[in-house]
Amino acid sequence: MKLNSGIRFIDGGLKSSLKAMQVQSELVGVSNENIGGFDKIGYQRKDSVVSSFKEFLGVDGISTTIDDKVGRISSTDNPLDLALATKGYFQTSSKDGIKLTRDGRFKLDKAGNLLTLDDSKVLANNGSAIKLPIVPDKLSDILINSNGTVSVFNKRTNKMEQAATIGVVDSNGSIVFNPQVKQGYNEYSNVSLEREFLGLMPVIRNFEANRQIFMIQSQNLTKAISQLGSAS
Amino acid sequence: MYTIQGLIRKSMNNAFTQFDKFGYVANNLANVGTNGYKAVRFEQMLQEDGYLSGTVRTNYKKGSIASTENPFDIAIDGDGFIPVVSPTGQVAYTRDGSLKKGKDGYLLTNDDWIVGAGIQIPTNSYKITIKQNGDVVSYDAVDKPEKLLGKIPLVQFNNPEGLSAGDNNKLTPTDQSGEPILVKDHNYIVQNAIERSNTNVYDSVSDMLRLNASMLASMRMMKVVDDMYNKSINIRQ
Repeated sequence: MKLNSGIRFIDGGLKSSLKAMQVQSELVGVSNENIGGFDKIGYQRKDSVVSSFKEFLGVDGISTTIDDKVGRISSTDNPLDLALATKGYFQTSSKDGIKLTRDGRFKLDKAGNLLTLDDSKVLANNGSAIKLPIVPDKLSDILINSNGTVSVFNKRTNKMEQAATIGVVDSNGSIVFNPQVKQGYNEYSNVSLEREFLGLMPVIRNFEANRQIFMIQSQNLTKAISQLGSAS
Repeated sequence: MYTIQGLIRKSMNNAFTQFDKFGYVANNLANVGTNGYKAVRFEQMLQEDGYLSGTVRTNYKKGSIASTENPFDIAIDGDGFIPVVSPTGQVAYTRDGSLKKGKDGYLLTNDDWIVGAGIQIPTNSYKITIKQNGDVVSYDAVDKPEKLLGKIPLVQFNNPEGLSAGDNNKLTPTDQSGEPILVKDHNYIVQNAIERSNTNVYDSVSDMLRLNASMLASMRMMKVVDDMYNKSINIRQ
């Protein structure tokens, strides 16, 4: 039998059982990643999608999609902790290029650049890195409104000075209007542990079932070989 | 593509990191009663490749200010640090305002570092007052005029998060923090008061619950993966 994609279907029962087991262990891997990301800020859970051709394609039939629901938002003490209450991403630029992240834990360096924890620059909606015009004495002098506009209090003029607007984009890279930036909040992951572990149960059972089938086939094969071989 | 060994390694890494974080939370809670202590946060960052890294951040938010009976207790009701000089001439910065009078009459920190440029209190001083702008004045008797002894200076840093924390609540500047900037007309000093630590007990508890859940989940995951591993190895019976 030959499939549309040109892959030959020559697998016997033993091999397809093994492949199924491999698929299940791969699914456990995705769950493991989600469980690891449970208490990480800005982590979005991965959903595994198994293609309906899995009996032909095995592990290559698995793909993951990102669950972009908003995670748990909790308040913090730091005015430079930002959370997005809508779908969207902050843009950060490092020497590896521009990355998207929902992790809004930012900091200022001594020159007033807005940086992420790993020292990437945070980008404004015009694509340039955000730098405050003055370095404030205290972080509470920085105000970020729900549109992402960063302003900083100027002690000399007693006025708020606008610095830039944080660029929030969706996964296609287009600007999100009304991004609902929340100042003083962090967004934890959208993973729920009980859901991950419950989802793991059928995967493990499926793994065990395929293992049993493999073993039955293996025993049958052994029997067939030994009995057919004995000509008496 | 995952491997079973890789999964176990990732779970272990997460469990260990949580345990590290637990150490920082415990340290914050142990210092709930330390004057001027600034809580640290262990921030975990999950990279796209699943690699977990962490960094330690200090929260420079002002702690609550408690009033005391001791005239040598001062609190900084605002942002800034007091420069102090060690007996060997080393300069550091602190927010711990539990001061004392040394044997030569100098105003010292708890561990004998001189405050500012050295403020000597005369032995016949009847009363010491520390004003909001840091001026230390002495009265020889009840009806005598005040005598200015010196001023407690206050400095600020562009990026206090970059300061490096040393022993006994002392901080030293680094490349990241920038140079100390003297605050000219400050009025942040409060006498007869002390700044408590800014550890938030409720946040710490919530952190502990979360990291405990994450650690247990990773441990449980290791058991699941281990069972699978076992069954894969013992498939030939």
